[in-house]
Amino acid sequence: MTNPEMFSRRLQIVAAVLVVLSVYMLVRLMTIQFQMDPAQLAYFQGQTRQYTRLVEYMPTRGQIYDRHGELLAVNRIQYEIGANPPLITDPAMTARQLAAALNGDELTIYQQLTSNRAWELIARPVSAAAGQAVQDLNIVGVDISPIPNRAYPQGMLGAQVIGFVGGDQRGNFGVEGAYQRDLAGESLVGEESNIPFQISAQVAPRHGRDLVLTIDRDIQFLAESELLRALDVTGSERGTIIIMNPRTGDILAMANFPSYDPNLYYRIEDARVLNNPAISEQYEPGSVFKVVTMAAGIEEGVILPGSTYNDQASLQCGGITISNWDRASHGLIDMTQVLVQSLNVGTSTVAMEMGPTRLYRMIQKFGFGEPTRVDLQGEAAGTVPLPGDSNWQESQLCTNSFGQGIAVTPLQMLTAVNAIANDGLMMQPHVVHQIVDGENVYTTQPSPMGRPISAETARMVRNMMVQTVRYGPTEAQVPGYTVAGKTGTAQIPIPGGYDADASIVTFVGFLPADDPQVSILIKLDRPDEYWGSIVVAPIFSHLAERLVVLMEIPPDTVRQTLASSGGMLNAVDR
Amino acid sequence: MQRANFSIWYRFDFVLLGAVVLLIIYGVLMIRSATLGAIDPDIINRVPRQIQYAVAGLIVLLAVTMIDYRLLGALHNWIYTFVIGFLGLVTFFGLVGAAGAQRWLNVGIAIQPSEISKVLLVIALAQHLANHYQRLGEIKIVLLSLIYIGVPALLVFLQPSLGVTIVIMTTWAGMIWGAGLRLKHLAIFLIVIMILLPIVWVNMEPYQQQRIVNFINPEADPDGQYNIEQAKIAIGSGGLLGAGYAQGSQTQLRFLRVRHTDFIFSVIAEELGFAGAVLALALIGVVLWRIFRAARLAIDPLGSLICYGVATLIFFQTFVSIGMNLNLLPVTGLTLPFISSGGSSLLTLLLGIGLVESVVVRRQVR
Repeated sequence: MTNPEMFSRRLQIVAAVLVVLSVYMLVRLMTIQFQMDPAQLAYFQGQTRQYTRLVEYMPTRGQIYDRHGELLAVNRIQYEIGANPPLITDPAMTARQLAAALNGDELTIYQQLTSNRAWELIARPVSAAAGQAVQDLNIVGVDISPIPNRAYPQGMLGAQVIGFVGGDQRGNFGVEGAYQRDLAGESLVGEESNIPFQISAQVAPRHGRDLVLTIDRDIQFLAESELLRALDVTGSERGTIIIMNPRTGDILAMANFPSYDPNLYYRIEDARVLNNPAISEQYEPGSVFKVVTMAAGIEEGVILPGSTYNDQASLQCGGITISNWDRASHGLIDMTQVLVQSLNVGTSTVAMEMGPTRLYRMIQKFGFGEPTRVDLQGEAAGTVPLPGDSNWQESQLCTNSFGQGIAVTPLQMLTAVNAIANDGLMMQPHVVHQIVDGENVYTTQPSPMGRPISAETARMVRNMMVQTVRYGPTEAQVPGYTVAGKTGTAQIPIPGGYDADASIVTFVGFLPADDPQVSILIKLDRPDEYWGSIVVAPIFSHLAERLVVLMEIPPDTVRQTLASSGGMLNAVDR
Repeated sequence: MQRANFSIWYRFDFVLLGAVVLLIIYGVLMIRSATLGAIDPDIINRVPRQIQYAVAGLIVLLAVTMIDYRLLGALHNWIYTFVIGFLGLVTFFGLVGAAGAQRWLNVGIAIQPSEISKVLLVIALAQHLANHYQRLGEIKIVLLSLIYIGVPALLVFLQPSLGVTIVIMTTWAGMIWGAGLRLKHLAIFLIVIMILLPIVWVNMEPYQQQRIVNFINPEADPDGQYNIEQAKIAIGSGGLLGAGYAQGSQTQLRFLRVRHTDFIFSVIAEELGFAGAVLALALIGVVLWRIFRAARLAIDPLGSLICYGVATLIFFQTFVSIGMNLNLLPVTGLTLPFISSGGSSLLTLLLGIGLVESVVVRRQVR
């Protein structure tokens, strides 16, 4: 070297630079390998799971049947078609096949298949047939995943009882909502390999349980068509019909108008239609509540059906004047006639005789003011103001006795009347008959909610109700059958009082009166005519005439003949 | 004659050769791990190809050792002309490479002209600088050498291969520094580079710009950042001793891309851990130490400058490649010397080591 000194000096500088850079690299290497900062570590730990991904295996939702096995809610199979472009070997051919199978645009699919993304959605939702067609093509890189879709083959039938399944796969309203946990089953989260061609172990989630309802599709259909007819005939705006078996608490039909089609739940404009007014709507029942007052009075020993009082057209009670509907004086009259003629002064007299403690104890024993705990979503409790409550006044002792100043749900009202039909034993209303979990079948056993009245009291009230239909609103009679029933006309509370022109009319009754097989509640809102006896009694008759045919309930004469000739009744009336 | 021959091999740097051979073996083992289970025939053949090139390269090394580097220096004008022509040819007859760049020329076997140019330019530039050794204090001479190296560098840049362009320019910087560049001139060059950077930027290919953008702002393009993230995960999961040979999940499950070349360092760091990474660095350190030793022992400026050039070449490539793996530098596609899979690169580097051996065997006898 010509200048060794300069050279070695420069070499030292070079060496120093190299050492500095090398140390820099080593420090960097060490920070990555040994001292990951928390953010890096979290990122890294997140990333280590990337060769497997967590997959949620979705269970199949349980189906819903009516009591005879007719399908009310089913899972329709639809598919989602996706593609992994990197795995597609022949995009042109694949695009042509997929376009043909899905009736799609070949060019669009081709562009998707040749994109550089890891996954492309080709079509969703796809019908079961088209999905099968794609499956049959068996193309590597095209995946077909089922997407759940709930369908209601009966359309609007029983919509508010059944409810619907929303886009989030959760049941809403009705049994879909109340039995969400049973119907939904449990999804299972498992790991699935991200490595192509590596097949993961197949695991099965716990599938949903099927429900068999107490609802009878044919009775439900009858109730709904009778309700529509009733609205048409009476000019009512809304209405509810409940049909039950008073012996078991089975709800055979529960019809409301307005209703909706659960298949098209997303098109509903007014969300209130989703509620089931039979359980969610509380209203002042009016005179139908008089049967409760009578039962209470008899049970408490205050009156008997033959007890008399002197009716003087009005009565002072808690500072207000109670009048009869006809504002007439009926003179010396017995309790049966009070019910037959639906005299407010009569029931008020009973209530004042009983006093608040006994009357309200009985009203509560009949289940008012508490939800019935029917197995449906969205039940209201009703409102029963009690002495001592801020919304209770002394006059309510009397007004409550004829169904004013107290709010009940249609199902509460029918449940209470069922106790009268069922010899005093009040049965838990329910809508699910069986829960089917694979091989295991859980059948709902009829269970009593309580015994508000004795069998003897029940028999007496039943007779009074028979007299009521026989001599009061005779339009409620059903040819060949003895009917026990009561009509009611309730005023509609509006701010500052009651609506003078509109009413809610109710009929509650059961038949045959001596061996009740079926109980019915009909409620119509704002009919053209004001009085329940005129409006709703013929509606009941029309419905019951068809119902006895459908349920094969023999007329009284046939039953009596059978009973006297060897008691084959059971064989006939099933 | 026999005695002369003996003296050549007596002075031959076996430590340098040993370190190089160990690095190649290390590399072949890691390439094998990185390509396990591959189905692409090109990738499957990486290991045998690397061995073939290594054997050919070692023969070249020994052959070059026997050739007096001064003879090569004397031919520097021919070599320079050959490189210019060779690189020029690529523009007209080059094959379209894997990344769309015309970096390959098919002369029986596919060689990357830019790779082989790097070491040939070291010889030419070393002789060029040695010729003007006494006048290097003049800015004119410095600029002349810049133009001298600038022409081939521009050709490589137009191929386009930004990585190799930077390597060539860095080699020039290292060599002219070693030759005695004045600090004043160094300052001028730094200023000029500052001014030129925007112009270079404008003339860069979009993908080259994208790489730098990715490096500066990784969130801008998550796809582009993928390779770097996977490399960091691989290195980070290595720890002290690594996941074990052929056991690295990042490598074996192919989250790491171009793992046999650009990201071979990540493979080492994942499977053999910090220890394996330091071993690779240490072996390269030994190689550099022996080359600088040769530079110091050289009997003339030409020999020193050749060693300087080769050392710069090896160090710079190592730094850039590992820096890229550690997310210190942008992705450039430079290979890790002696370890990464790639025949042209290996052959070139072994040719460079041969030059160093040629210098060292003709050292001053003290």
